[in-house]
Amino acid sequence: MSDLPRQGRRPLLVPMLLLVPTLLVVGLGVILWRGDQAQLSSGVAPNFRLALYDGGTFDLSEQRGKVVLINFWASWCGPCRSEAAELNAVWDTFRDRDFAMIGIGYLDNERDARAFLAEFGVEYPTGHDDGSRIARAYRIRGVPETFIVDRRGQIAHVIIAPTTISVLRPLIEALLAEDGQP
Amino acid sequence: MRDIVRRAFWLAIGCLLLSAAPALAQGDPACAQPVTDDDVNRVSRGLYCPVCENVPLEVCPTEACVRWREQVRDLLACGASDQEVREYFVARFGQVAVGTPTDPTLQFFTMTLPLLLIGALGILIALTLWRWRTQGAESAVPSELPKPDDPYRAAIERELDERF
Repeated sequence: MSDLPRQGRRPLLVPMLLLVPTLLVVGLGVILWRGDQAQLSSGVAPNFRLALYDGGTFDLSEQRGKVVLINFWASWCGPCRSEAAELNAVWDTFRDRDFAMIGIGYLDNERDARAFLAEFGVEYPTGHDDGSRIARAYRIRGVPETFIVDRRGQIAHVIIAPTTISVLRPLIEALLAEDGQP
Repeated sequence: MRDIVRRAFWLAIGCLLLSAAPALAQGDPACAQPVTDDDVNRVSRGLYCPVCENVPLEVCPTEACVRWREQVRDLLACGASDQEVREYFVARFGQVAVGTPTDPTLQFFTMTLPLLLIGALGILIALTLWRWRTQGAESAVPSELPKPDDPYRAAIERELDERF
């Protein structure tokens, strides 16, 4: 008679005891695997929509057929200041061609970001990455970081450092010369 | 659905506080509430450096932290509560601002799973207690012996009853 409740308890307890360590092991494995995932350097560029400081919206999917330069920056980032003039020069050089450029503010407050844009006379579209969602999608590790996306929407180059027009010009020229058809 | 509602709430808080920015720039009296360093440190204690790991904003010396602390001060000066400041930071910068893992898997294993396990453990304990109580009640009820089918045993029982 007294065996019945004991038998009823086993089916609940045993799976629990097995499930908890299994979940923990699988979870830790996934976390370690994700941690080892390198920064995006190829494949389709994650799509995003970004509200711009000037009031418009930038949608990456609408830039298909163009070469797109995506630059992550912040006003508190010293190296970003050193590359600001270089990026302006890139924009001035390619703005009239099949080229788009977007500055994505990373962990920045609006007042300092606007002051930065005014100080360096930035004219290309810029906006703040609310909630750092785009930064997560691109798995950036810091700023500045620059991604160049080809006409087919594939990541062609990643530059994890301040960059210059002399580095960017040949890369962009080569991508502009490519046919956009898949 | 809950996620959407939560995001909408943070977004609304963010918009509300952002709308105070122009007033702040113009020296609006509404954003002139006195804020001490202690106030800023109290709120900063619950926020984390955006570029270092596990360093509270309160003690972080980087330029990014200095800017964030200034933003905390500005928001407090505009009348935001501690909680509103934290919600604004989460809406604008993500969970990283409050030291919560941004990786959804890590978030599940550090925040959701422990709650689920605690819940499951609670249910298990409740079930066990309920079972014990039921068993206790059952054993407390005097049970009538079933009538033996065996006539020999019945005779022995009868004889024992008569003697004692």
